Amino acid sequence: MAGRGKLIAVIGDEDTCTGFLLGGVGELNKNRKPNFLVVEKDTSITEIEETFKSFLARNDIGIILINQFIAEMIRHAIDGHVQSIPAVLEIPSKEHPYDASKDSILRRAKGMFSADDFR
Amino acid sequence: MSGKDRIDVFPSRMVQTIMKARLKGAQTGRNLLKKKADALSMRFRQILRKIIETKTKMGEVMREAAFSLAEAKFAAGDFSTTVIQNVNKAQVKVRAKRDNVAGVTLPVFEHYQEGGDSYELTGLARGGEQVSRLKRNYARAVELLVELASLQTSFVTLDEAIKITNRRVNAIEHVIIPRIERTLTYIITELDEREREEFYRLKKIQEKKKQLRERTELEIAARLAKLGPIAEPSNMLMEEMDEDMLFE
Repeated sequence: MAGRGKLIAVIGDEDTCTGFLLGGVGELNKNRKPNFLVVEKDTSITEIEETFKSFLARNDIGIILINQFIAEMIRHAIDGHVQSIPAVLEIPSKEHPYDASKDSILRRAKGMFSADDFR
Repeated sequence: MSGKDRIDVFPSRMVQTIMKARLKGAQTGRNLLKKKADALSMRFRQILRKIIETKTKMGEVMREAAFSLAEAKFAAGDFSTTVIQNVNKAQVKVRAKRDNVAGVTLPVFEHYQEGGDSYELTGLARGGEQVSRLKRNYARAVELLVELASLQTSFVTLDEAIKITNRRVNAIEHVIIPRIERTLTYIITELDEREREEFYRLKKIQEKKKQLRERTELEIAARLAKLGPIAEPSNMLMEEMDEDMLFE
């Protein structure tokens, strides 16, 4: 079953979420639950982790976009997710540019790490 | 797992042939798996390179999109809350297709549009051009990100597949084949020993027979000697007196 129409979820700061919502990825499902989470300075780590886990549990989400600095906060939850779908993608935010050494997917590239990434 | 194991079989020539065939099969299997692991590793490295390229490109695209967001905010005011409140249906969704590489199915994401643009009226008051440019930038970013996600999932799936295949190759090489070889050596030694036993038994029997024969010859010679100088058996024709047995 080719998974008709999976959604793209977003966990990010306000600017990231606004941008992607304008790009057209946002949706509220039957229970009025959104597929995105706006993380502010006062959002607790538990809430972020809960939302992340709920996104993983939903079977209509194919990709989860998450800002890298937020991914750092729930690093253990992300490292624990080993299935291929939904795909977890770390994106940079305005204040924190992309840092390849923190990306959990690239870290799993067992030792091919050294030469390639820091170009 | 005990190291010095062999398969428990009754050592016979037929089993030996069967074991030889099994050994051949295991070796062929190991070579095929090794080839599969090599093909997967090659594909894996390609994908890794592509991922790194795409990630750097993504970094730039995101930066540009963030700039246009700042511009739009400057021009149109703060529309974040309106945008967040007006979410109802997604226009961009992804589909998971299956791709096949050297026998491994990899999931690939394909994005597609559905429905109209629900933010058509945003920025109608001010900064419409910035907002539409912003939308385009973010749409492009989403496309790139979908491609990146496909690469990432294939990466993860391939990683698992390579680990499994390597595990199987090692299992065949270090457990199955030595076990079969040990069984073969065992069968050969048993058959040799049986042959030796047969040979030994045969030799023993021959010896015994020879001894028996020698002994009987000695006995005959002894008896003949006891009979005295008459070395020949009695002649019935020359016998003169017949003893009367009945009426005496």
